[in-house]
Amino acid sequence: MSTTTDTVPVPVVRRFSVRNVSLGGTIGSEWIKFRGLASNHVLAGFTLLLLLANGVAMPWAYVFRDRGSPQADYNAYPEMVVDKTGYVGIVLAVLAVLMITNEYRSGQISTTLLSVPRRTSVLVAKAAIIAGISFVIGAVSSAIGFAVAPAILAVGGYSYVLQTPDLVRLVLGSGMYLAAISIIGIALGTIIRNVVAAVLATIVFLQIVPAIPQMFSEYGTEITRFFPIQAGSLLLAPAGTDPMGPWTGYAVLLTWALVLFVVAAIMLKRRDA
Amino acid sequence: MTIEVEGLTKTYGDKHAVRNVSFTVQPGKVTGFLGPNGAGKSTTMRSIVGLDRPTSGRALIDGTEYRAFAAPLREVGALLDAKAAHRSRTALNYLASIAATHRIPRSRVDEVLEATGLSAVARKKVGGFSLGMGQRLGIAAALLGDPGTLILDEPVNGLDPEGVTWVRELLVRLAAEGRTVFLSSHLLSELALIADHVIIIGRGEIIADSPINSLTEQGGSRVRVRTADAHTLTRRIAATGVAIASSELGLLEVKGLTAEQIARAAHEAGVLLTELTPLRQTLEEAYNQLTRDSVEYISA
Repeated sequence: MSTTTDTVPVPVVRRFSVRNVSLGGTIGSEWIKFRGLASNHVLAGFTLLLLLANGVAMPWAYVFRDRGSPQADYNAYPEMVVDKTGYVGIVLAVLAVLMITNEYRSGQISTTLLSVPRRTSVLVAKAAIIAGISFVIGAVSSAIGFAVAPAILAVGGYSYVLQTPDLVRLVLGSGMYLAAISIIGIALGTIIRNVVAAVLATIVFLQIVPAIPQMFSEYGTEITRFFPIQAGSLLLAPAGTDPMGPWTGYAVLLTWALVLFVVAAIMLKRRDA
Repeated sequence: MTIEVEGLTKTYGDKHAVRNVSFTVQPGKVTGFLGPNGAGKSTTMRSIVGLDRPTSGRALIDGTEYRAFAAPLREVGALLDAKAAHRSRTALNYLASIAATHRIPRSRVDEVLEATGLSAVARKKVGGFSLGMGQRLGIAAALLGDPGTLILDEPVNGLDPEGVTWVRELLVRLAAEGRTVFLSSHLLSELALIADHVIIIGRGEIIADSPINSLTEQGGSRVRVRTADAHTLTRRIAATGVAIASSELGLLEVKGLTAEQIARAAHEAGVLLTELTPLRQTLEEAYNQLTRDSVEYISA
């Protein structure tokens, strides 16, 4: 037991390197955290499978549907390959919510914020990981879908016209759309913190709230088209679906995501852990 | 690495968790942080490491606020919340994710796992860990960056005797290396063995802040005396300001005289002493005395 009062601190000689916290290191840390949970693999894989299935099932249904039905007359359109992306995006939004709310529930958030006290970095890193994964899921599933769809449609003698710029828009757009939706999830999870409340709020906000204006007024659709999923889906919809073009629609979605992200960052910084 | 807490105040609504708390923790020694439950120990520690934002006042480590450190784990290792990891994560994954933020190499992660005795369970899920293993994991995380300052909240909580000894030796060694060791503990007997300095908090305010020797001396020294002729000795040494208690035949507890004074008196009176032991007030007694009025939760 040392009783000296003025000990000269012995310089700590480390045999290993400790570098300053960087965004790159923080992103690496978030990736390790993400891949360390089996539930993340399951949810991400499930989303990928759903989208792949959609890409194959839609052309298939088109070919084998009842030919006597009233829908029998319209031409095959390429967007059918990606038209369920809007719904499946909810799963990724929930995954993003869990990414942050689980830390609050387990108490890991303390460890995270002790390691990276510049809290905005933590949020950016989490968003980078989930947005990156979402982008890959969207782009890969749609690319495969578009590779396979013409062959399936050909069985029934159908085909669609797809110019390269539109193909690029639909493939990259699937990724970009899911990435933006996942950022909304991260933001809402950070703002609300409680797992159940955040998941419910995300589902309600994305799926249910847009339907409300229409219940009260015939002009409701004017409001609904500016909600995240409705506006963002325009990026993957046939031209002319809405006066807003596909890229304008995506810009609206992105604005929602960025505004919520900024609010989340401010709250994360200000509040107690 | 000196910890300076200046006027720290944290209120929740109109309730003060801590009120105008100020103290300094010096390097090269073990400083114990004691107080009843709810006294504000955790709040103080969390404010020092930037997890909670104080209502007023501040806490500095070597003149810098925690949140401003470029590599906080290199400067401070904190154990505040044992088993603060997702249940389904492995210990290795947990530590690796922390290490990645500072690009600490995998070899160091293996090293702290080894040092804390967790190598065998590195790939087991944290959810299956016992309280003691979770505690060791928290200590491993605190040691990862080989920091100059350690801030530990109840580090021996849940550890078996071997673990308690290990932590004791670890902390003493770290302090001897010149690091700052700041720990809170309810295990007063343990703390009495290793603490050089003690800070006591009660109801959000600092009650004591002194070297442990001064604290235990305050109770006034007593001397235990064993003799066959207690009667003669008592008569000889009784005087104003001297209190003598006897709990069994031949055993006296004398307050107000030094051991030497008693020995001289016995010698002059021809009384044979078979035991003469200066007693210090224990840390527990000093603590109880000081916090008697500050305990929030009193058992019936």
